[in-house]
Amino acid sequence: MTTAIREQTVGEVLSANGVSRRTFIKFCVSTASFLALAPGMGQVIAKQLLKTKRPSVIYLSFQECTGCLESLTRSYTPSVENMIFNMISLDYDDTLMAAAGKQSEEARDAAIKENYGKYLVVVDGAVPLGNGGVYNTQGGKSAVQILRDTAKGAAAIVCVGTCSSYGGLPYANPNPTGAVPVSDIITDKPLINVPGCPPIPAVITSTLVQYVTLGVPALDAHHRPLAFYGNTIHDRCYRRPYFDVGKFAKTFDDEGARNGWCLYELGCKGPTTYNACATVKWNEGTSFPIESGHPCLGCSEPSFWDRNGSFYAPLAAGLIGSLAPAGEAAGVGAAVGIGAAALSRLRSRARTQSRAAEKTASKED
Amino acid sequence: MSARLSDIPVKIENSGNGTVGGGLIAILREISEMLERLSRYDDTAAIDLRTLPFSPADYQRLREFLGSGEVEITLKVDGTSRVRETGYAGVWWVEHRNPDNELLAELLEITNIPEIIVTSSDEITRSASQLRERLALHSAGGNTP
Repeated sequence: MTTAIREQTVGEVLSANGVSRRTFIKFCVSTASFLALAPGMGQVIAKQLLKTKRPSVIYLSFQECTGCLESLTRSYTPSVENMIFNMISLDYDDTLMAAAGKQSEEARDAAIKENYGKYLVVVDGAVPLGNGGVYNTQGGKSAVQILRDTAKGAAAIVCVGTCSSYGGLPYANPNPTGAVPVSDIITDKPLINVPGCPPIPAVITSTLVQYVTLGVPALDAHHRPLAFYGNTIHDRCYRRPYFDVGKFAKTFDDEGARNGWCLYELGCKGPTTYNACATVKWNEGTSFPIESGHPCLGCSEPSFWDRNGSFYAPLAAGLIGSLAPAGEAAGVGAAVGIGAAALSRLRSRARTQSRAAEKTASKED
Repeated sequence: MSARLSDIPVKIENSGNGTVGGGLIAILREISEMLERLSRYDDTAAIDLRTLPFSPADYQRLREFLGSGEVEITLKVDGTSRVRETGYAGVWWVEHRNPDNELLAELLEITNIPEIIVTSSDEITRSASQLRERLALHSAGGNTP
C-alpha cells in the first residue's frame, strides 16, 4: 500500500488531500522567494512539482545529538508535515518512525530495493572510523557500513548539520572515535552540505524542496547551497554599519551592545561565517544570536569547534593565535590584538573563499 | 506575546521634497520597463520585494510612489493573501501571509491579473460536475437543495 502512495505525483497527493490550486501557487511562490530564486521560478516550481513523483527519502542518524532533527521538525516554511506528507516519502528515520528494531531495518532495506538509484539519503551526524567503526553501531552494523550500503543506490546525499558536513563536535580535538564527515567516505555521489549546529529549519526543508523540484542547487566550495550560504553573517548583519564606523561593544550587554554596536571584539565569527541567520533568522523569524547580543560562533564553517582559538576571542586574535605554538595560542592572540598581518590574512581568506564560491557557482550555471 | 522588533516604531526619514533615492529609481525604471513589455508583448514579470536591499523608509517611499488603484482582493488560502493594484494599472502589490500572519512573500507582479486570482479551467470543470451531481442527488430524492 505504501508503494501505491509513493508512486503518485506530488500534484495527485495534494489534490487528494484537498489542497487547492491557489494554496499550491502560494506555497510555490513563497518557496521561490525563500530560496532567493527569480520570482518567475514560483510558477516553474509549481509546474514541476505537480508532475514530480515524490522521492523516497532515507534519513540516517549517526554521531549526533538529534538537534538537527529537532530543528527540522520545527520548520514552518514549509512546515515539516507539509514536506513529509505531500512532497517526499520519508521511508526511514529511526527517530521519527513508528517501527523499531528489525522492522525498521527492513523498512530501510525495502526502500533501498524499491527505489534503487532514485532515493535521497539525508545524513545527520559524523561517522566514526576508529577501531573498525565500533563506536556507532545500529542493528549489529557499523555506521560506516550502513552509510556505504545505503549510499550505493542513492541519487544524491544531503548532509544535515555540521557533524555530517564537516565532522562537527565528534571530529573536534582530540577526536577519540576517529570521526569523519560523510564526504570522506562517499565520494561518487552528488553531495549537498547543509551545515549549522543546528542548521536553520527552513534552510533544511527548502534545500529538500529545491532538490525535489530543480535538482541539486548551485553550491559553494564546501558543497553548501549558495541560496543560503552565499553571504557571510557579517555581510547581512544589522550591526554591520557600526563595524564600518568602528563602534564596538566591549563587554556583554554594555551600553554599546544594547545600542546595536558590533560584537566583533567579543569574538563574533560573523565575518568568516557563511549562513543565512541574519536574513532568515530563527524561531519563526524572531531573531538570530547577534540580535540577542551574542556573537556568532561560526557553527556552519568547517572545524568550528577548533578554529580561531576561543569562541570569545576576536577573529584577528584567533588568526594570530593559530600561527603561534599551540600552548601559547590564546594568550599570544589576546596580547597582540588586531595586527595588520592577521587582517590581511583575513581579507585574503575571504577573497579566496568568495572566489571559490563564484567558481562553483559558474560551474553550476 | 513577546515584543517583536517590528513592533518598535521606526521613524521614517522623509526628504519632504518628493525626490526619490537611487535604489528606488532603479526599481521604478525596472517596473516601467516591465510595464512597457506587458503592453507591447503581453510579457508578464515580477519583482521579489524581499530580496531588495531596502530600508523600511525605502519601502514606504516605493509604496507612496506607486499609490493605490481600484482593486483590492483578499484571499483566504492557508492564511491571508492580499492582492492590490497600485495606482499604475497592471502593477500589482501581492502579499502572502501564513495562518500566523507572518509574511511569506511580497512581490510586485506586472500582469493583467495575478495568476493566483484566476480560476483555472480544471477547477471550473470540477465544480460544474460537482454541482450537477449534487442537483441530481436532490432531484432523485425529491428534495429542494
